[in-house]
Amino acid sequence: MKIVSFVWRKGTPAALLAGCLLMGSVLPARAGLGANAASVETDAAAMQATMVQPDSSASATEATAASAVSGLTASSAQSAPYTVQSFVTPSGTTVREYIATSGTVFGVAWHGHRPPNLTALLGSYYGEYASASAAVVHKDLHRSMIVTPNSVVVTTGRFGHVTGHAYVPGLVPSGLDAKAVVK
Amino acid sequence: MKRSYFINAVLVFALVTLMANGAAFAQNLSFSDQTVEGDITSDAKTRPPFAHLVITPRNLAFGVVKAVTTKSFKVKNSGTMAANITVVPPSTDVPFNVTAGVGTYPIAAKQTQTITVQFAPTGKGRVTQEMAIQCANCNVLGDENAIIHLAGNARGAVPTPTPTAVPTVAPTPTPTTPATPTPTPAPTAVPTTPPTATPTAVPTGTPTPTPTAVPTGTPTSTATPTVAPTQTPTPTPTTPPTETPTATPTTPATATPTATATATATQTPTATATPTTAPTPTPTSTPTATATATPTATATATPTATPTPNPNLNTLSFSVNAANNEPPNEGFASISVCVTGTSHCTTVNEMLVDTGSPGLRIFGSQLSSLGLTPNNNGGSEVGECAFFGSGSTWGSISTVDVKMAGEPTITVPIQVIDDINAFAPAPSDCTQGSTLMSSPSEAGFNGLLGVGPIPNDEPDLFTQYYNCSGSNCADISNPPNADVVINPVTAYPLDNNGVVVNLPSVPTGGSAAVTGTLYFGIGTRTNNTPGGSVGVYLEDSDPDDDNFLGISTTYLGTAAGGVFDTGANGLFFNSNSQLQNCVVSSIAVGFYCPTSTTGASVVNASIGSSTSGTVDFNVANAQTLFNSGNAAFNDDAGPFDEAPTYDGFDFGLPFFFGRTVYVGIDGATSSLGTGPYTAY
Repeated sequence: MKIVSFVWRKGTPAALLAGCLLMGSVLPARAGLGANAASVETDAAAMQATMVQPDSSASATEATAASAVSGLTASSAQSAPYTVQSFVTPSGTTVREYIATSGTVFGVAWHGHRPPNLTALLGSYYGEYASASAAVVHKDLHRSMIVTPNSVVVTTGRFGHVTGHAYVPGLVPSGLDAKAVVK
Repeated sequence: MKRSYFINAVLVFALVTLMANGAAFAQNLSFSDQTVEGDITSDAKTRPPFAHLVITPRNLAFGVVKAVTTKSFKVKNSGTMAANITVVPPSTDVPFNVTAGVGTYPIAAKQTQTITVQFAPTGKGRVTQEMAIQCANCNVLGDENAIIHLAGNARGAVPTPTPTAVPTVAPTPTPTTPATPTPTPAPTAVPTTPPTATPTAVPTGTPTPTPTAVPTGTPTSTATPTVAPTQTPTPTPTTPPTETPTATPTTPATATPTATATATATQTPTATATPTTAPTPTPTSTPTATATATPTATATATPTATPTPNPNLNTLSFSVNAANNEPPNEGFASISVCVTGTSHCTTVNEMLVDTGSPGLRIFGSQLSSLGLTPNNNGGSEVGECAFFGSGSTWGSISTVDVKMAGEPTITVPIQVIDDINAFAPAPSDCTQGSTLMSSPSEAGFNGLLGVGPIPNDEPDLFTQYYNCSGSNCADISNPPNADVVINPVTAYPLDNNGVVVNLPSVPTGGSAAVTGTLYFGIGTRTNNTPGGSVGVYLEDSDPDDDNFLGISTTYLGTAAGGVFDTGANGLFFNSNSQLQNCVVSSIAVGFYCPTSTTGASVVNASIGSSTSGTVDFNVANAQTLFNSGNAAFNDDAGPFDEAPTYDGFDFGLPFFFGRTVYVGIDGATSSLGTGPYTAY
């Protein structure tokens, strides 16, 4: 009897992933996890979303894009090893992308009435997520955690309010606890 | 169908009660296997003419709207003479405006008047208003001033629709002579002259300006005994046939068939109405559908008693037994789904009782015998995507008849989750955000029985509707009301303001099987009336809040939101690293596995009132629990997500064991207040 929903999947060859990443670099429209900071704007455009202005009350480590016009010159905060840029989709879902000082998106998180476009947000990692998720039996109505060799994708929530996050452990700045940060 | 025995027994009880009271039947009642259209005038000889209003529903909950929306309710005169009513609109016509049916006029015996209310929000937030139906000459207490509760919600002002037609004079047809409540079997309420079209209202520019008030001038014999039962009854030979002779005409059958017609058909689907002679009460359970004549002659006594709704028609039992490889702590009920207006039905088992979502969603493979077709919207087929925490449901919208417990049959749109590729493929914006629930075995249920605190599934906000043609589907932001999946409870004439969930306690270590009860309605019958010690936790009513439909919770000093959700099979919260996760290889991955059972507590607080209280609970080692083979646990818990810090509480099924929990629908009113709320 399958009891719970959290299923951990393994088996996507790293070589295949590398190929996907390579393709991602060739096709600038492909963004999301593993892409560069500028890709956040690509993601937002793909979802017809609106970039969020910097919030003075926001944590310094979570500075958002400086302006929608000037692009994504997110202020880096002190010695934090990452910055956060966020946008809101037309359906009201807030998406946050976590960017290492190296300029690579290592995590994404969202919350809202409905999930965002994970095809865009997970980028080259979407394929392994989708195949692993499709293989889950007895999915819980409220939570799903899909762990592949290269990524962790957690979706939770209930009807009307969903949350989730995803990150690539291999891209998370050293010393950072992605579970505590990417949310 | 095991239910039949019970249900027919109930019918006997109901009729006996009615006859004993000599009272009108206030509610339209129907049973899962037969329909009783109310108004059983049982003892005509001792009954004077009377008037009584049956209003359904008494709550109009619009939910969150994005456009000007109309809803209606019905006022039926179940008596034998005209009821003189006044429909009193709210004190202002903004945002609720009664667009049809306002004014003072009579409703003839057995006639129904539809009152239409338009909700045009002018700003963000939830608003409530009241209106009244006042009867000047009714004989039942309460009819003199019946309050109708109106509630709606919006994320902002909505555009005013352009009037499409020149508003003509809105006539208020007023019979110049009052309907004569004649005790003879003659047709009741016959306006002796045609209605005079008196221009009483200046057209306000609203697109539906016509109060189409009633008296049509057509003498009616409303209850035609030839009406065939719409459903095929399941004959249950064990039931005593006592209910058959529903009405014994005391005068020849030439009289006006005011009684019941459809009341019959309970046993055999003959319903052949043999009205020319007095129905022979055949004790062999041949109901003869007839009651063709209920001569309302010469009555003497005044009906005084308000009929008491039958206490047991609103109880739907559900099981937590992990049968058929179901996950633990999931409650499953059975319902009947029929092709609209037919007796072509199927029973769907393993419907997950879910107070976390609204509406019925059933995998198409479970309904294939019905041959349902998608609803048609201007030539397109209506499709829908609904988003849940772990995936989405995709499929067509079909309007069906649904029968649950002993409640009347309701005709509601449901989502047919397309697991058999019978519908257009899911649009990309349904699949891009999450994976689709693709089959009952994958999902762990045959369908969702969503009885949560919102009236419908909020098109364009929580869900996305589509017009589909072939394999192409296009977004529609404002699907027709008739295609919007609603919380089925809101469709009931009486029990429409929420549900009550009752589950017995389970011992430490769990139980192999537990049976719970889902009561429809709150405070509408004896069995769903709250006791005095119930605490009412009002919930966030702003649909834009992350904590919409949630309360306030505090765990270890950290405040966050919280929801009550029978569709969750554990207590889900992040424990500030107080509790140890089960190991990944465990069957209980995703739950907590403390080395010993750990006590914890969370403080709940109402939003918008002062109610608060502490909930104490235990967290056991989930791996141990799940290995026990039991199915019902009150102490399985897990992290809500990966984050270590507390960010909210999902009170899943473990919370409900040993409790009676009241779930009030947004905008609907009960003795506990106006929803959304959870009370326990």
